[in-house]
Amino acid sequence: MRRDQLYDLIEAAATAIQQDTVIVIGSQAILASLPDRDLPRRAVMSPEADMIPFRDDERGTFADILDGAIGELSPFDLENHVYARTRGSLLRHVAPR
Amino acid sequence: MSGLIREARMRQGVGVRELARRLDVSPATVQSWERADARGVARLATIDRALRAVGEHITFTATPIEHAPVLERREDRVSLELHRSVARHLVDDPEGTLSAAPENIRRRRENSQGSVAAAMLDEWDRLVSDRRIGALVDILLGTDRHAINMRQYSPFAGVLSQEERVEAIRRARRA
Repeated sequence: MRRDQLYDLIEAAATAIQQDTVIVIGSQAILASLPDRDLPRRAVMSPEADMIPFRDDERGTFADILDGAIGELSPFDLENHVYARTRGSLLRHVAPR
Repeated sequence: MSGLIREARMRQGVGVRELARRLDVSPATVQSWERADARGVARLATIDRALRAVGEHITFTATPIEHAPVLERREDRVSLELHRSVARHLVDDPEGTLSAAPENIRRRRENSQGSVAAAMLDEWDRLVSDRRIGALVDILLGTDRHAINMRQYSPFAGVLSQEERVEAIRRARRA
């Protein structure tokens, strides 16, 4: 995945869930952080970006919406050959107090 | 090259000519069955007929769904359920399901760099080109790490309707 493809994916994600923030985790997150010359090979080898909706409920309703709109085997995947892999609700990834 | 027929024949110490004689077909026919079997495209009735001629037969066991392996990560469950639906299409309509795969593989290569991606896509390419339906289904439904990794480079975008995708994503939720 290239940087411009990640940006397209983020924009499509925000549109799908009607939120202005999505969280990108995993190796693709670095695409948005480093200039091209400093990118590790791992960042461009994968067709998928791991994402979490910033706001979600315990059922993961928005995660399901993201998977439906831009996930694996979606129309977005068919057209762009990259996709989002939704890692569930942010609630799952926050350490308990 | 291996397959159920050849494995059973070797296990029972029966040569190709002897098996052909028992089945009243030519040795070339037995060899063509074994090739089809190894590629996962032989008919079950043919495999069973050949196996019975060497003293074996096919048995099926059903596994209750609650004993099926459960994948821990949500993203792996979603991928598995999506590909479970793809597997149904593949079994019902192999040619139609595989028709878009070569182009999808080509486009995936353009968007995924590195030797790991290349190896995965080479494997998809071989399985699709050789029409190895059985081996493809194994990867579509597998819960081992190799199958999970292979599905990340899946060439089956466009096979499922949006309704089928939504239903698969719903199935992936934990009960």
